[in-house]
Amino acid sequence: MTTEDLLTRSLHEVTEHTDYQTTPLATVVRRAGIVRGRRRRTTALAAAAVAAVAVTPTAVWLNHSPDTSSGPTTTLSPTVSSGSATSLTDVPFGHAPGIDYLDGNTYLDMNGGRIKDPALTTATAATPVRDGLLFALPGETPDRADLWIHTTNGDQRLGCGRNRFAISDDGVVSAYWVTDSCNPDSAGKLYDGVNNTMGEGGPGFVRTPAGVMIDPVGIQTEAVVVNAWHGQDPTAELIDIGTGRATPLSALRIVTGSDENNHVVSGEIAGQPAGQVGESAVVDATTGSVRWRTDWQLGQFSADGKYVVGLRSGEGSTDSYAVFDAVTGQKVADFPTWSSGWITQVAWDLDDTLLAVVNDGSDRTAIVRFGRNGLVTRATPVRQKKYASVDVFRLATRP
Amino acid sequence: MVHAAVTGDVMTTPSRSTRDLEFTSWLTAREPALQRTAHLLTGDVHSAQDLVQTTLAKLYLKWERVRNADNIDAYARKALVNEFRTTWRRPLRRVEQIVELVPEEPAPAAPEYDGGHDAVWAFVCSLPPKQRAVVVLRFYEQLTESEIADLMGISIGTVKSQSSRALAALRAQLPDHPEISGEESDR
Repeated sequence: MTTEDLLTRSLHEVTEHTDYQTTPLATVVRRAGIVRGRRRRTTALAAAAVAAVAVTPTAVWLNHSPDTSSGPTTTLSPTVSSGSATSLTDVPFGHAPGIDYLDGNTYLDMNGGRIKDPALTTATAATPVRDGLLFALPGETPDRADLWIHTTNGDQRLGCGRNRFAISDDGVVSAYWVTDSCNPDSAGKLYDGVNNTMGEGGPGFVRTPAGVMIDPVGIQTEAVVVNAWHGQDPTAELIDIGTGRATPLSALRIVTGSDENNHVVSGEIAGQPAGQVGESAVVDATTGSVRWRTDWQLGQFSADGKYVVGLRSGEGSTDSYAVFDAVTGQKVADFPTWSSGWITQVAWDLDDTLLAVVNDGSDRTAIVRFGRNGLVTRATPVRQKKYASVDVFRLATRP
Repeated sequence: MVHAAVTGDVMTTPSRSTRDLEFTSWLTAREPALQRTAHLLTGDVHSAQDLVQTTLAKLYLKWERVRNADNIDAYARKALVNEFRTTWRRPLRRVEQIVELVPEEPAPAAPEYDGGHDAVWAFVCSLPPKQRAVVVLRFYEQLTESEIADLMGISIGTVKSQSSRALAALRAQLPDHPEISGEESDR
């Protein structure tokens, strides 16, 4: 008998002499609820921010009074006085983000793992994949990113792409778009896979036409929710990763959020003048019908799909953030005010609290948590910003 | 052009009850195989059950995608191994077993070589998780090196090296095993 045969026989011996308990469906469903509850939904309002950057200032002065005109609202009040909260250090320290994020040159994952790489200092997005850490660096032009993968063998450039990746609700499937050439007329590939990257053992992909840039926003059943940019004109679409067919979400001009379990997406309603912020809607991803609409810009859905975050541009550089019931469209909470500072990114944590990267106006920055109970806490130490164009903290996406 | 707009193409999704029926049918048929593989990956039945339940939960949540996969079993196996990989990659995860009472007697010692399969199993359990996964997939699941590389997202060379190192270590650890002839196959 060879060693291989001995191994095979021994392993079969182990399993043949063990009694295994079967799992009732109820247990699977219960466990699914737990998994869903801790889904690693970390995609931020970055979608809205990216989409809105051309038409609205991204700075949000937090002293703006919350808008309570849209129905019953539970205003979240910071535990610190808004008038005196001139410094981030005034905000009491709470618990760390439950989702992955970048802190300078370090990627911190939700399980306590850290990846340190000087290249991450200027990364605009990052997500762990099976072979390493996929990250985006600023490209030659504002609409392009350089996609890289960090592995134990070093960093490898994958090509040109966009600075966002789509992650499924359960964190199993990721999607990203990449082209070999940074030429705007080049064709690309939209990858979609189970904890995969391209290459050996990689996921499937569909080719995308020349001159079209693809922003993956979310994952729905057998499809990737994307914004396909034909020059300056976006089209909200579902791209079937098996066939490559694109089904337009014709009710939307641009899609900003996706919730797989309830089969809904959020985005700006189609037919509105480009460059102006108009109405947004939550749309059934299966039928394309509008479920509800609002004059707020909608972003991502919370981890359990109950809520969706909204952004409203105010006078000058004052913007507001609010939380909406994803089913009814009722506004359920406003972000609290702040005496000085602005938010550059918002993301849902796993427990339905909101995390925001806040700059305090003097190049000091931290991630702040807005709890549903009104508690405002700091989730990270306060850091001094070193590079004007890149935040120290970036809320990451994770499969 | 592959990327083409198709107006009015509406995806169909099964109702909850249909999904549960389909899932239960698949679960009944295939869970034992997942349990066995998970047992060999984790080294103990309880961890295996936990691994399988988490995997099943994720498959259940993804069932609309999974049910249309070319090979549901392969998808499930990949999900299981991915979940196992996620577990072993958690560097700060503390693996603790909660017991109701403090044991009065010390835990039993690890099994000693008895010239039989228990020693081989103890050896497999002592392997690092990645190498153990390669061994289980290669010598229990009988997957090819290419299939393992694809499933684990590693190169074929890594599969070969992990596998041959494990075999060499096993031979070194069990030099007098009565069932080893010394003749190796070239599979």
